[in-house]
Amino acid sequence: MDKQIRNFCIIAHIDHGKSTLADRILEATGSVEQREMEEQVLDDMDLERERGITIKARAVSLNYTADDGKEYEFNLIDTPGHVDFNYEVSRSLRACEGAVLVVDATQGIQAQTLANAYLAVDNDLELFPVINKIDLAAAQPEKTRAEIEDVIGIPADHAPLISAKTGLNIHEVLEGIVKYIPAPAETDEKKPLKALIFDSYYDAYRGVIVYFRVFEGALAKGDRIRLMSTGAEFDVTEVGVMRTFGLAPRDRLVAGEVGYLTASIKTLADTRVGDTVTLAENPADEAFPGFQKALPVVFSGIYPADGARYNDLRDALIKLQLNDAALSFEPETSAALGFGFRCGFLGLLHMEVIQERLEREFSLDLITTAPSVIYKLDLTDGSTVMIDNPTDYPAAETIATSYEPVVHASIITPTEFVGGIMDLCQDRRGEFTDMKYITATRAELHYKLPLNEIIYDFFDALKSRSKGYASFDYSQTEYVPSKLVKLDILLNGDVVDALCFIVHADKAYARARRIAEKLKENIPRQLFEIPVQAAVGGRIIARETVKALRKDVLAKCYGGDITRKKKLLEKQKEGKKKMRSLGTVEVPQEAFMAVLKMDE
Amino acid sequence: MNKVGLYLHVPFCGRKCRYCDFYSLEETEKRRAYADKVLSLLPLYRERLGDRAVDTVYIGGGTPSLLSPASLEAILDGIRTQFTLTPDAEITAEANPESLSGEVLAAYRSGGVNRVSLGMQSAHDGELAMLGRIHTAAQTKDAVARAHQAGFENISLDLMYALPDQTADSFFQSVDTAVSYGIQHLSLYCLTLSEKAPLYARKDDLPDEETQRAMYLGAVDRAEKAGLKQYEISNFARPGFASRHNLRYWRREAYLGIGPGAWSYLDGERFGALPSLDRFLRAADPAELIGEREKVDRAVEIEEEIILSLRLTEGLSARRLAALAGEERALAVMDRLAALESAGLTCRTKEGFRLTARGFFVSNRILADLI
Repeated sequence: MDKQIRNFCIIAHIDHGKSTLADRILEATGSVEQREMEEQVLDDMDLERERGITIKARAVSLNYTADDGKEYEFNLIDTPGHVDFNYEVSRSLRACEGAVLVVDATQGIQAQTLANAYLAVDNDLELFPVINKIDLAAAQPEKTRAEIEDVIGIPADHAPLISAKTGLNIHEVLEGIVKYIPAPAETDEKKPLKALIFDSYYDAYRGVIVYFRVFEGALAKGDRIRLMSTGAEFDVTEVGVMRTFGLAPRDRLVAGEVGYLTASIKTLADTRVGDTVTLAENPADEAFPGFQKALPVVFSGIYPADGARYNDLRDALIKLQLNDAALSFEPETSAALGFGFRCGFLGLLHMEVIQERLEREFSLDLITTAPSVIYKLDLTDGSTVMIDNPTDYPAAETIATSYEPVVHASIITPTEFVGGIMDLCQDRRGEFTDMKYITATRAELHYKLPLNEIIYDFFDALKSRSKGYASFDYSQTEYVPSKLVKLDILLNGDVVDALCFIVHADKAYARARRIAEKLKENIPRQLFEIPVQAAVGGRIIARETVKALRKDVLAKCYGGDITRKKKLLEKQKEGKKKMRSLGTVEVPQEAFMAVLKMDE
Repeated sequence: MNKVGLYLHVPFCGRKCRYCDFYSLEETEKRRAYADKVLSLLPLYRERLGDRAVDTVYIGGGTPSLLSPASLEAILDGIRTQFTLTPDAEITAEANPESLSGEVLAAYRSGGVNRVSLGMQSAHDGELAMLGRIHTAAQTKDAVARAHQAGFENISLDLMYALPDQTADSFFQSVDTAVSYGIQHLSLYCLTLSEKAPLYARKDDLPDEETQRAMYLGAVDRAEKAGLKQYEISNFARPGFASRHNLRYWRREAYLGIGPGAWSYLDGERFGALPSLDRFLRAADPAELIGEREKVDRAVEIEEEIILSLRLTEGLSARRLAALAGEERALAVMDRLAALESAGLTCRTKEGFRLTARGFFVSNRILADLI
């Protein structure tokens, strides 16, 4: 192979500087001028930039002339940094030979540093550590270097000390990529094509654009390809490489290269991440192993606050799904909230991201119901059902055994917060597995935690108990038997379907009381007194009362100004429109939100 | 021929009250110019009315009693000579206790005023000082006595409640005191604080809503026991002494407003004069002064019929509403009002429904549901 190629990704814990380093690499290779740099070019979604996290993978090809005088092609593949997208991360990693592991010298190893590093090692990647943020006063570069060696178990004596923010020692990173990231293995170009899809997105003009890595053979414009998981075939209309600002067509791509193709593919569902691309006329014998469809694990009802915007919500979900095949949704009707959608997400972050994008990019006001995991129920008639919607929960007497999903959680924290975090995990029905000291002052805790205990506000609670220092990662593992009950919420005597949920029996009382209090706080006084009740199996276990409105009157009408009075009432009427009428009770959007924030 | 009401806005105050965000000025030197301007514009205002007779006149403010007796007499004369007043016309003038002098009373009397409305506000000097009122409780008593002596037999007093740190008992004392003066009419206004009012700084010291409601309900009870029957959310009168001018507002009847900031409802349109004395003084024609306008089409009429008639104890008539809005809408509104009966917020009348005192105190919420 005449070309020198390095395929790599950058992995890091959130906020350790992954995207900033990517920017510096783009700059240093002349791929982007400083002045046209908006911070963090690679994260091109607003939301990503705001949260400083990468949601979907992106890739870019760069040219670098190294100190040895040779020209290198760098393919930088950006990976999602969050556990919700673990499957996608692993596919992105598969496309690389190595990974630049960024560690923040002020924070050291964190939960996602470890999770990502292990994932990279599992995928046979060479790790090249770099120690970032050494410009900060709190930086402890040598301590960090020792942590990398002790905790991850890889040499770090060669790790450059850098500041991605100021650009310090970026050159060493580039040279390190040349030196420590292996070149792609040499293969015979005449072998049948075998390329791995690691990302794709929908373009309104060209259809689906597929990002892939060629492992064997070659792919040219005009070839007929086959996607091995489905057998679907397409004619390639364009191949090329990704540049910082757009796509650059090429005649063909060969083994070792990373690029894109277009083939008039209409839906993202046809191009699953992890699938293998081969040629229809000369197919590979077998696909890459490990292909799977990403399955949602968290579900929630999403309704437009204004019922008239149901169609807008549907259109928005369809648009988002074009670029996010992992998002699932189907129409759902709630007696309380009207028409909406039951949506499935890969995890919590995914759910939040989708909700925020719906609100921000499509200007929708949403009401979301409490997120639910998938419960497994063995029924007395011998059948088994999977339930992801509390309203579908069968009557208690028909259930033989109920099971809930449990995750393996890893929490890294300064030791001073261990006690508080253990209390939190205990409170969330966690089962302690073990604790290791990473250093004298930092510990890694392992717990088995029910997924339904962490989908509400576990992140927030963890942060508040560790002053923001603890980090958290999890992977879903198994179903375990559990005592579950369905908690019904009643307003003015009527069950509100959108507010009910499934809870562990031991927590039903506490949760019921908290929800009743929250609703009381968030439902404004109305003309009638409103009882707020929580019930399990028809038995009331908590009760609060929203007292009747006492005063709402305009006493005087100055100088015959009837118009002012009418305007006031019109305004009041507008405010009312933002509320949901549940029978005779008006419930504001905030009340639905408040019951989701239990720890406040 | 339909009759109309006349409202004259006198935009001057001795001192601006600390709760007020209404249009009035403390300056003194333009009072004469204002009176002259009113007189010079009267013929044009009169033209706007055509042949319609005037059967209520209301001189409000501000503080009308701050105008010189000569100016007051001239304006009242002007109104009586330029407009066609019915023989039984109700002519009200507002006044502040400290400025209702014998001279002003004489001017009112000779100008045909037959109803005086005094801003008493409270029987407690501490509360008056807090409100920024410049009179004392004793001055109110004297002013009422002077008005009686001058021959006025229709006297109204205004009181305010829900004041910072005010107790229900303190307010009830004010009500009892006002009633003891032998008045025919009483207005009880709940303090409404705009953010612009200086008293807004004391908003945290207001009585809680439970107490405010107790004040209102208790005062309604006391007034009625004293023979002052409630006829509107904030107004009470002996039989035959309800303010005919104010009833025009709630019965959607026509009125013409004169002066800066005054509103009119004429020929299917509501319009407000700009709240600017300077603009008023410069105007060659009242039409130049019109700021906001609102066309009262059928939909607006329906809305107004509902929200205005329900301010009155005579209530909303199903028949009248049906004539405007059709049977179906009228029935729907009546159903909603009927649903509030068991909560003690509404009650049935011969013609339809009215709000109870409890209902009045949450009337915004009830009305917002009906429109």
